[in-house]
Amino acid sequence: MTFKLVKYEFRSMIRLMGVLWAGLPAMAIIMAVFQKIFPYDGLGEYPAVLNILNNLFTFTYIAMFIALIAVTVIIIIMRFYKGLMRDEGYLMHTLPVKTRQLITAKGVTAVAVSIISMAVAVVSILLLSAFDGVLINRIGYFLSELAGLMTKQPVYVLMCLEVIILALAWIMADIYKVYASLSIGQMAPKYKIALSAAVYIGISIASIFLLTAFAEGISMLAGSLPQSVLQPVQDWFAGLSMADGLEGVVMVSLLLFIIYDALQIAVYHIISEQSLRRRLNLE
Amino acid sequence: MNNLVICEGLSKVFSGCLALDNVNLAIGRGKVIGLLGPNGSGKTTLIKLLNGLIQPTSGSVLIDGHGPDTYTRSIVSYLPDRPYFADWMKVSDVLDMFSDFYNDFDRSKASDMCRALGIAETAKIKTMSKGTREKIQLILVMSRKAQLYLLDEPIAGVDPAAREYILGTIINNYNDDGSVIISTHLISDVERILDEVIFIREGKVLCHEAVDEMKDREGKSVDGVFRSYFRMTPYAGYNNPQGDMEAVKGGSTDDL
Repeated sequence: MTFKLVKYEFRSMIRLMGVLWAGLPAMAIIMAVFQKIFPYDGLGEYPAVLNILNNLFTFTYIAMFIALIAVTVIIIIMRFYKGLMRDEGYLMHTLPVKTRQLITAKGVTAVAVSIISMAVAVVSILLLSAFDGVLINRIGYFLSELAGLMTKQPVYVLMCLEVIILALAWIMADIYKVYASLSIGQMAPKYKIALSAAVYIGISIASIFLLTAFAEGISMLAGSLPQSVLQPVQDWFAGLSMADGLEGVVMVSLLLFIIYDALQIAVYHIISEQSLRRRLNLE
Repeated sequence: MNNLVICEGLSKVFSGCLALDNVNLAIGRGKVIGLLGPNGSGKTTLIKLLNGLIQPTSGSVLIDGHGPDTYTRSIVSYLPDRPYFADWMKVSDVLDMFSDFYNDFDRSKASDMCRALGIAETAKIKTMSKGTREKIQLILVMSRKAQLYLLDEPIAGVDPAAREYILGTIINNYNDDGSVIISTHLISDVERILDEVIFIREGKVLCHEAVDEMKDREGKSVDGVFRSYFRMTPYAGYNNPQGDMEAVKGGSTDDL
C-alpha cells in the first residue's frame, strides 16, 4: 500500500514540479547557446536587442533557479498540509491504509523530489558551462582525482557513502520536523498554522539543545573508556589513514550525525503518526 | 454481531460547544437510514466520527465490531459534504486510485457511469463544475460494494432533476447486504427510499424508528413529522408584529 501511495504522491509532484524541472535546464541550454554565439566579452559591440535578450535570459534563469528552490520547499509542505489536513484529507484518511503509511509515502516522495530538484539545479549549472572548456576540464580533473584517491584509499569510498547518507538523513529529518509541527498544529481548534509555526520553532530549539547534549554525551563516553578499549580503535584509524587518523575521526563523526538524524526522523515520525491517528481533527 | 454500527454515549465538543450529546445508536444491516435534522444539528459531526476524521470527546463508535481503523475504512464508502480531489487529478487518476486501494471497487461500473453522464475520464477535475464533481464522488462511492455507505448531504445544493438522478443511483447501486446512512435536511426528496429515520437536533437523537411505524403512528409523512418536530416560529418583523403567518404568506403555516 505504501508503494501505491508513493506512486500517486509522486504523480502529483511531477505534475506540479514538471514545468520547473524541464524549464530550468532548457533555459540553461538557451543561455549557453546564446553565449557561445554571442560571447560576453563582445556584447558591447552587438546591437542593443542582443544585450536586452542576454539580460532577459539571465534574469529568467535566475528567477527560475530561485523558484525551483522555493517551489520545492512550498510544494513539499503544501502536499502534506493540503493532502492530510484539508479537504483532500477526507479522501486520504478514508483510504484503507495505516496513518504511518500515509506519512511515509509523503516523506519518501518529498526526499525524492528534493533530490531531483537539487540534481536539476546542478545539471542546469553544468549546462550553462557546456561550452566553457575550462570549467569542464576542471570538473573532469576533480572527478579523476577523486576516483584516484578512492582507488588508493578505499576508506574514502565509505566516507563518500556516509556523506550521501547523511545528506539524505538531514533532508528527511528536516522534512519530518515540518510534518511533526503541522501534525501537532492541526489538533488546535483555531490558528492551526500559527500553532504549527510555534511548534516548529520550539522543536528546532529543542533539537539544537539535544544535539549539543548528544555530542557532549558521546565525548564523555569516549573520555571514560579505558585505554585498552581506545587503543585498538586508534590503531585501526591510523591503519586506514593518510593523515594520522583524521579520516577515522571524520568517519565516526559522520556516523554519529547519521545516527542523530535517524533518531530525529524516528521521533518526528512517531509524533506525526500519533497526532494524526489519535487526534485527527478535520473539523 | 447483528448491528453494523453501534454508538455508545457518543459526545463531541467543539471549542466549548456541544455538537453531539450522549448519542446511543444501533444500526442494523440491509437498511437505508435517513439521518435527518436541521442545519447544525450534528449530522456531519456524527458521520465524521464514524469515519474517524474527528475524535469523540467521550463515548465510542463501533462499525462491524471495530473502532474506526483500516478495516472499517475498507468496508465503509463515504461521500463527504465537500469535494476532496487534489488539484492535479484527472477523472482517470481518481478511478485508478479507487481501483488500487479498494478491493470492492468496480472500475468498469464506474467507467460506465461516467460515460452515461458524459464525463470524460481524461478531463481534469479541477476544471469541472461543482455539480459534476459531486457526481464523480457519487460514482466513486456507489461503485463500491461496501458494507456501510455514509452519504453526507448527497443532494444538497443540486437541482431537483439531479436529486432524482442521485437518489436513483444510490438505490440502484448499493450493496443489498450493506446499509446506507443518508444525512440531509431535504426530507421530502429522500423519504420514499428510507427504511428508517433518525431525527437529530442540537446534537441529541430525538428518535430512531422504522419509517412505516412512524407513518402509522403519526398518520402523516416523514416530512410532516419532521416539520412538527422541528417547527420554528418565524421572526415576525416590523411589518407584522403579531407574527401572523396568514398575513405573511396568505395561507396556512403548514404550507411552509
